[in-house]
Amino acid sequence: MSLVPMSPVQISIDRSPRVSFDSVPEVCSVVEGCITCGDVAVPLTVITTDGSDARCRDDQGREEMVAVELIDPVVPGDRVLVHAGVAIEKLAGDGLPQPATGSGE
Amino acid sequence: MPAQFTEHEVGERIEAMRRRRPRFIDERITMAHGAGGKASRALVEGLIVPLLENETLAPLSDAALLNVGGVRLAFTTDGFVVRPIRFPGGSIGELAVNGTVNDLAVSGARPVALSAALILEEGLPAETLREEIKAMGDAATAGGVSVSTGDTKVVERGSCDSMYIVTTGIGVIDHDVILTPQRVRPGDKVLVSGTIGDHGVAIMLARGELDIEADVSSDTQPLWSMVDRLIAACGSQLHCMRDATRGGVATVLNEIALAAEVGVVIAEDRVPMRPEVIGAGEILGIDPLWVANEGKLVAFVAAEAAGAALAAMRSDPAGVQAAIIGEVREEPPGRVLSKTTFGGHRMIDMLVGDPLPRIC
Amino acid sequence: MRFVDEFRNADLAEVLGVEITALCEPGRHYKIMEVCGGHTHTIYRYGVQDHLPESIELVHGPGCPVCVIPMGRVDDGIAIAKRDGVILTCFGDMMRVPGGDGSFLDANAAGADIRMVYSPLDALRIARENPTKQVVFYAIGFETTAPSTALTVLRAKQLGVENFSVFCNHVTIIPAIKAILDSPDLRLDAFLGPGHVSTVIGCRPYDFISRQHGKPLVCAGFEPLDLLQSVYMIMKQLKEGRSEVENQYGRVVDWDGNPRALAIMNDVFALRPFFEWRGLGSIAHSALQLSDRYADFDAELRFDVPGVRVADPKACQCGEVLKGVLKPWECKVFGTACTPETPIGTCMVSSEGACAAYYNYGQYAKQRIHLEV
Repeated sequence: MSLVPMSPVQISIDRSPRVSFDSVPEVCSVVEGCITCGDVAVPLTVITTDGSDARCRDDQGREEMVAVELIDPVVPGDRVLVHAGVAIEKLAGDGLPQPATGSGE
Repeated sequence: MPAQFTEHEVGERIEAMRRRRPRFIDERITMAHGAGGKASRALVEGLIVPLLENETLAPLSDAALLNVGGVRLAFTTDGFVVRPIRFPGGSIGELAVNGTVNDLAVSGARPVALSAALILEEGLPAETLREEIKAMGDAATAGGVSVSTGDTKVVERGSCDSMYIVTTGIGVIDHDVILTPQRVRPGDKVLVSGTIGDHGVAIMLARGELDIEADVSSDTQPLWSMVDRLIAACGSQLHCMRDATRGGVATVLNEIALAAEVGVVIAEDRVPMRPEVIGAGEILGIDPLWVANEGKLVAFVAAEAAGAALAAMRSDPAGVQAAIIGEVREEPPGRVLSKTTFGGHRMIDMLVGDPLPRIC
Repeated sequence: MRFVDEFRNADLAEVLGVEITALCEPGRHYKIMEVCGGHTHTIYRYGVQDHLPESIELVHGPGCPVCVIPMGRVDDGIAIAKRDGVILTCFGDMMRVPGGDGSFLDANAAGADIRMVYSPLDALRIARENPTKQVVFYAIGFETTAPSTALTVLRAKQLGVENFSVFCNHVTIIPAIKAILDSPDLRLDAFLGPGHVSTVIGCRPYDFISRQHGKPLVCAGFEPLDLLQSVYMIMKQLKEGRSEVENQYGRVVDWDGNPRALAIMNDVFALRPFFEWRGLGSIAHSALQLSDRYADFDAELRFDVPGVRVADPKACQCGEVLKGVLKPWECKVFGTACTPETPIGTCMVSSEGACAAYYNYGQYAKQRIHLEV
C-alpha cells in the first residue's frame, strides 16, 4: 500500500503498512457510534491457543490474536468476549441472546 | 430559568439551517470534502458553484442536460481515485467506465461516447496499466459505449497514488420523460435496484487493514439497459433516478427529500442487503445505508406504476434483486425516516463525515 | 437466520411495550438514565423509544469516556506526538476529538506521527518493531478498556521494553454516576447499567445507588430487546416499591465481574485524587494513573507536558443536560454556537451525547412514529 503524503514536509519513503488516517472512523459518528464509548465487545470462538494468547475467529470468519490471561484457561471451541484485543470474559453458552428467562442473581 | 426559545422554534431554526446554501469556511481541504456527504455538499455549493454560477450547473444532478440544435444531451464527468486500484469484483478502469455510463443512465440518457484522462504515477508497472486499459475496454463494450478520446499524463513518484482516471461522457435522451427531483410527489414509491453496500464493504476489505475474510465483491456494472427497460415500462410516471454512489442510499434519499421538499419513508426490512455485507458492516461499524455502491440506482415512480417499474428492473440482469423500499409523503418535509427492523423508527440523515474515503 | 435476530424481533417488542405500559402509574413521568454509549446507540439505531409509552423517557448520561476528556489533555497528547522520534498511538475514536488547537488528526496532517491501533497490544508491538523510537499509547476508556492497558503494561515490563509508555486517561463510571446522584437537581427514577463495564467490575459496585439513593439499576445487554426487558424490570421494581441492582445481561455479566482483570488493574493503576471531566467539572477519585510500581511506563513522567487546563466556555451547560435537568434544546448555545460541526461540550462532541443525538434526530426522536410502509 503506498504512502499517501500528508503534507509537503513529510518526505519519508517508509512504505511499511502504517494504518493511514484514511481509515479513521468519525469520532462518535451518528451512524457508526464510537468503539470505545459504545463499549463494544465481541464474542469470538477460540481456534488455537498459544500460551497467554489465542487465535480467535468471529461469526464472519475474521481472525485475530487475543490475550486470554484475564480469564480461565481456554481450549479450542470456547467462546470468549473480547474488547480491545483482550478477552474479558469466558462465555458460558455462545454469548448470543437466549430467550429471556429471569433476572439478576 | 425559562428557555430562550420553545422546542418548536429551535427545531425550525435547525431545519432552516439545513436548507440554507452551505457556506464553505474551512481553510484547507480535508478528506471529508471528498466523501459525498455534508462536507462535499458544502464544498460544491459553498465554494465551487458560486464562482461558476450558470443555469446548466444549477440543478447539480448527476449529469448536465443540454439542448443542442433540438437534440437533448446529457453530459457528465467523474474522477476515480479508488484505493486499492484492484479489488474483488473490479478495478479502477472498470469503475471509471461504469461510473460515467451510470450517471448518464440515471439522467435518462443512452450513453454514446466517453473520454478518459489518465494520470499515472511514475513507476507504475506497465502490466498494471495494460490490465486497466483492458478493463476499461471490456467495460465500455459491456456498456454499449466506446472510449473515443483521451489523454495521458505522468507525475513524479508520490504525487499520485498509482493511477487516477477522469472520464467524461455524452449521452442522448431520445424520449420525452423529464427526470428531476421536482417531479417527485407525495404518494410516489421508492425503489432500489438491488443489494446495497457491496462496493464500499468490498473496498474496505480489500484495503487489508483488518483481518476479515468475507465473500463481498464490488457491484460495479453498467445500468443503461435496465434503465432503458424502466423508461419503456413507465414513461413519464418515472419521476426521478439517482445512482447511489458516495454517501450511499441514505444520502441520495436526503438529496431528493430536500430538493423536492417532501418526506421520504422507508422500511429497513425491505431494503435488499447481502448477509455478508450486514455482517461485515456490523464488525466494521458501518451501516450499509450510507455505504457507496457502484451499480445501483434509486428510482422514484408514481404509485400506480410501481409494479411495472419493479418488473422492468427485475427483468434485467442488473436489477434481479430490485425492491420497493418505501414511499414519499408530505411530512416531514426534507427529511428521511425509516422503520427499523425492530419496529421503531429512526431518522436517516445524509453522511456527515468520512468513514470510507477514496471509495471510487 | 442468526439467533441474534430473535433479539431484534418487532413482535416481541410490541408485547413487552404493552406490559411496560401497564406498569406505569397514571399521571407519573419516569426518567431512566443510561450511561453507556452502546445503549444510546442501540436506542437510536432501532428506535427503542417507540415501544415505550410517552410517560417513560430515556435520558442519556455521561456514557462517552472519549468525549469527556478535557481539551487540555488532548493538547498534552499532541505536545508529546510532536516531539522528534515519538510515535503516538491511540484508538480511532480519539483521532478527531477537538483539543484547544486542533485534533490528533490535524496534528497528524501537520507532520506528527500519530497512528491508530485497535488494541494497546498493537502499540506494544509497534514499540518492539521500532526500538529507536519512543512509542506512547494514549489510553482512553472506562473499566472495560482499562484491563487491556494494564495487561499491556505488564507484558511490556516482562519483556523489558523500554521505549514504551502510556498516557493514561482511563476514567471510572461509578464516580460519574455519583456526581449525577449527588446533585440537588436530580430528577431521575432509575438507571440502565452499562453492559461491558459490568463484565469487569461486576454488579456489586452499583449497590449504593439502590441502597443509599433508592434508585433501581438494571445491568442491560445491547440488543434492543435487552433494553426493553431491562426497562420492564425497572418498572416492575418501581411498581413494587423495590430498589435493587438486577442483572438482565446474565448471559455475559457475572455478578462478581472478572477478578483477574480487577487484580491487574489494582496492581498497575492508582486512583488520581481528582480528574476533570469535560462537562461535569472536577470529580474526585474518578480516573486512573499508573501506580508507582509502573512509573517507568508513565508517559506523564517521561515527557514534559504543558498540563494546561483549558476550561469549557462559560456558556456550556452540559452538566445540567447530563443530569437530566435541562433538555438539549433548552441549553442557551444549542444549535447556535454549539453544533455537531462546532461542538463546545461533551454532549455535542459525542454523537451518543444527548445534544448531538437530539440535533441529528430532531424532534422526531421524541415522537412516537409508527410507519406502515
